[in-house]
This record gives sequence, structure tokens and C-alpha cells, in this order.
Amino acid sequence: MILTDKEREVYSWQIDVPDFGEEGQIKLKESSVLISRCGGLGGIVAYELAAAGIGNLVLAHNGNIQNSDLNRQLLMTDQSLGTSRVESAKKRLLDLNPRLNIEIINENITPLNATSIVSKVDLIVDAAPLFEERYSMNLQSVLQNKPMIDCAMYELEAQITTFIPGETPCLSCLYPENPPHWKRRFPVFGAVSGVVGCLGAMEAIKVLAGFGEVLAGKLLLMDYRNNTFDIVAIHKNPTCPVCGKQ
Amino acid sequence: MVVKVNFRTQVKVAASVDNVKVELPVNSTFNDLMIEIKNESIHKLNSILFDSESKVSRSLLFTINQSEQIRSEDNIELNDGDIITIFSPISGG
Repeated sequence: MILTDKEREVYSWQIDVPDFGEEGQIKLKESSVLISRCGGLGGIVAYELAAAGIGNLVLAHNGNIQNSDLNRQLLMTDQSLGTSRVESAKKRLLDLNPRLNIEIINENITPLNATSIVSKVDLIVDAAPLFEERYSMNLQSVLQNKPMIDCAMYELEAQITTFIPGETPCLSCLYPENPPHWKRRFPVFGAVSGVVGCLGAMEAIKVLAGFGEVLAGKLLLMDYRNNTFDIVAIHKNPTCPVCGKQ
Repeated sequence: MVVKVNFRTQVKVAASVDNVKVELPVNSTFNDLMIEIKNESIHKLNSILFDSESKVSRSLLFTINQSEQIRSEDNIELNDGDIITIFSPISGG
């Protein structure tokens, strides 16, 4: 695969990054990424990957746009209230970059659809709100040997790590049981999801293009209330029911 | 010895404070710390920190000195001045 003249011009500022270059750009063009869901967090990941020239995006997100989405879901607009979230996301992304291939799935990830959806991509971005979805993607990440970038937020806090099957802990190593206190709706600012979404996109670009240092085996913890940023080492759980035998 | 305990995410909301300092005998372990928190019912945290069998919840993340994850089952020995941070899981949306 080669880049067109138009692509070389559009991506010229990042192609100038010495250890990325045209080779890295071609790797992005050849890559496929699943983003679930494309709301406050995943929508920013999708937007940045679209701008960076990812070849193929698979967006999984059920439902229609609501007023309460608009403080953080920047791919959704007031004019599109009541219409499909993934349709709105696809339109906004193609406005930015018409060279993208985008598959939209008007469903959330479940144990029933995770196998087939994950099989379409090279990398998973977990931006889903419910742990049932997150565990479903984590299981397929391990079974299908595909990296998963795990992004999360709450109030003014955010976390991100990159799970590499066979090398790093997986989501079930960190949290072996579905958290009983977690709820679908939680307090957060759109600016918090925006920051961690950009970090998630950069992790994806580094994993796919094979340069830089990713957050493998490391969890970046951020608290914007007092501007603290910590990176902690995380460890595989030898008794993990998902990846413990790997 | 004194160990500082930071609360983050939903644990911080339940605690209503960022952190507490807990006095423990020398050579105390992580589980000694958790028992002290439980016995003192510090800031009504028990329902989020412990399961129905009064065991430390398996859906929590613990770090020591803001640098490394620890697991309750490893029950590491603590030192004076250590900082333990407790996170409940968070997600996207």
C-alpha cells in the first residue's frame, strides 16, 4: 500500500515525526480499530484517529442522541438530537476525513456480538460505560490476541492503560469482579473525557505504527481537581480467569 | 507507625475526604490496615470496601506509594510513611 499525494500533504506534519514517517502513516492506513462506544471518550478517540489517517474504523454504539450527551459527546450535535449516535458520528468523521472507511454498528458490545466484531479489527479501544461490555471486549482481546486500550473517567479523574495479550495484565486482572457500585450514569466533565480520549488515540497510533513507548503494564492515573498525574506499575494476576494461563 | 490512605473515584465520594492517616503497630500488613479501617468504620466506607462476607472487595484497585499496584491477597508488610491509594473501577461513557 502506498500513500496518495493528497494523503502525503494532509498528514505531512505527522509524517515529519522522525520515528513515525511515511512508513508509520502507511501502517495507520492499513489498520482497523474498534471503538466502543463513540460517546464522550470514544468519540474523541475516533476524531483524533480520523484526523491521523486511520484506514478503517468500526464504531459500536446503540441508541439516539439525547440532550444529556452533549456536554461531552463532541461527535453529536444539538441539530441531531433524536437521531442515531453512530450515524451522527460517521457523518462528522467523514466531514473531517472523507478517505476513511467507517463501519457503524447500532449496537453496544455484548458477549453475543463481541467475537465477530472484534474479529474485524487490529486493535480495540474500550470506552464503554458498562463493565459487561468492557469484560466482553477484554475476553476477545485475549482470545483473539488483539491489543486493547482501556480508557476511563469519573468526575475529574481519568485512567488509561494498554493491554497487550500475553505481555501485560488484562482488565480482569485489574478488576476480577464486576463492580457492584458502578452505575451507567456518573458525574464527569467533557474536558476530562477529551483529555483521556486524546491520550487513547495517541496510544492507538503508537501501538499500530510501532513506535514510542506505550502504557503496557502501566496505568496512568490523572486527577484534574488537583492536577496530579501518576504512572503505576500493574501486574498480571496468575489466577486471572481470562488470561491467567497465558 | 502511620500510613496515609488516599481515596479516589467512588471511594472518595463515599469517604467525603481525600485521605486519612491510620496509626498501626510496627510490622503491620495491608490486611491489618484494612481491618483497622473496617473496625473504625472510617467514613462509612465498609459497603464499598468489603463484600457481603466482610472480605476486601475484589473489584477495587490498590496502589502503594503512587508507584505500584498491590493485591490484598499478597498482604504485603507496610512501613511507616507508606501511602496506600484505593480506587473503585471507573469506565467510559
